[in-house]
Amino acid sequence: MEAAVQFSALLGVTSPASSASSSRCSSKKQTCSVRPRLAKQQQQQQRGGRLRARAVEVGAPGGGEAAAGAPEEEPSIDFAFVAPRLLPDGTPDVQYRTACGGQKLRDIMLEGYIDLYGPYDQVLLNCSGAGVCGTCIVEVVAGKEMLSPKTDVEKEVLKKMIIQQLPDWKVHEWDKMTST
Amino acid sequence: MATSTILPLHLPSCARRSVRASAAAAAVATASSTPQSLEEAFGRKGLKFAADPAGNATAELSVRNGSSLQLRLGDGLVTSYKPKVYWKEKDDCREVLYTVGDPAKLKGGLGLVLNQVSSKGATEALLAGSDWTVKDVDSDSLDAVQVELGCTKGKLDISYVVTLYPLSMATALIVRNTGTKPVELTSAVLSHIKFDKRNGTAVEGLRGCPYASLAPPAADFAVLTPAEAMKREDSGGWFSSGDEEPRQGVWVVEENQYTILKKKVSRVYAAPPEERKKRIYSTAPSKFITIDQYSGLGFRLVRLGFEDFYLCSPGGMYEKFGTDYFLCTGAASMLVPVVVNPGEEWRGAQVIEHDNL
Repeated sequence: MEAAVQFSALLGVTSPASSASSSRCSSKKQTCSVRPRLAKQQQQQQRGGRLRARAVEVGAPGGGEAAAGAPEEEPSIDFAFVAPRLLPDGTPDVQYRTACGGQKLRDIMLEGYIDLYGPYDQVLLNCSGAGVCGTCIVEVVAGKEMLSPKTDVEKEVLKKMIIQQLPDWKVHEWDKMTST
Repeated sequence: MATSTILPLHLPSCARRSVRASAAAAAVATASSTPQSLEEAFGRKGLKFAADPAGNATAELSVRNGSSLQLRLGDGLVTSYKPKVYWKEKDDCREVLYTVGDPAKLKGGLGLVLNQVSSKGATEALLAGSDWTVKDVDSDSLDAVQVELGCTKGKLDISYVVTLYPLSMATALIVRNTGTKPVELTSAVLSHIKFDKRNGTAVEGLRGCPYASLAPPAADFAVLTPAEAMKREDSGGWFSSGDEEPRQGVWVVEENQYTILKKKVSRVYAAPPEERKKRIYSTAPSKFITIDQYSGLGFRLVRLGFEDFYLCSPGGMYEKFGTDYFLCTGAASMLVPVVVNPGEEWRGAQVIEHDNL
């Protein structure tokens, strides 16, 4: 399976580098590495954090084909990014993107022009990927297994993280969570 | 906003209301649509029916905080939207929509264009000179007022719902196919928005979205005809090497966070049709915000159900119509026709909201 080999090569090269690097985006966000899966696309709608990233897996069209997906398309991961503010009629505001693996999730979002920083988009208001400021928090709702595991640095920062503003749909849950 | 849940823009509830009410209102709808009879049938706190100076029946919606909206009932044109904003150090209601001409031949405002694309490729304007009737009205007496207009064109039941909230206004289109053959439609909600000066007019939030030059759909109320909109103006000598408008059919990705609209453009911001054939494609942004440097006010346009954004600025041509600069913009589905199968309905909405308080 040529594609599988390609992927493991990618994995071999990028993940030690990425886990060692300190230029990682903040808590709850992990670098993206690809593991080709031929499972069907997942479509669960779950509650999310500041920005929900739903990493939907690539499915082989027609199901069951051994090689990596469609013959012309390169292997990639599909994303559904859900904004923290709902649309005026109460439905979630979803943006779909697709990207090759091996990159950082923050880079994929910035290249795809997803509004990641919100009001902290200016030059000195964020740490631009160092993993220390907590302004581009993302909660991964589905597809966590496609991200590389959290490093110790990330886990430390996560423990101290304060979320300043919950997304629209979580506000209701927060009342339930605090009362029970 | 708590108020937005009272009259949810969530369109299924509008449709349900219209189905229940149309049976009851059928008797009323056939009655004459003079302002007096409409007032008796539908008038309530926040909603008044009157006749404008040209004699057309209009509905005036208003909410508790002072925002108001005027809707011309015959052709469904929103002729005025005045939200309450904090402007020039005081709370005031400022007109957002740009209109020109005397009341008999008013152009501009916010109106709907709906075209049917036949199998041979010809487009037929469905709403030209149409006669909308008031189907239903809803309000919570304080912070939300909603008027539903309906008309039937052939085998299509078309509903146009205009809603006013304290911080926003929404226009929704519901098309139901009652015939036996699928119908292909293209539509646009063309909003003419007023700006103080040509220099300080910009739009933010369209970065990363591909755009192409495209003529607007023809509309009676549009200030610029499609031919006028597409006419390029001669830029000054030192600008000619700057960014030119792409030729028709060429897609360019917007690079700037702020799209400055000093020059004459007529563009559609969308995912290109070839992209849409892929399994997954990057969708266009769901909203953008207009920026007026001189007044400091910004209005956010949100599209729900529509696929593209249409954006047109008149450039130097604005002087032909008046002293204010304006943009003709709005949510649209103009590139790829929407297919409505028999028995199905299609919904799209555009919301103009602001947080200038």
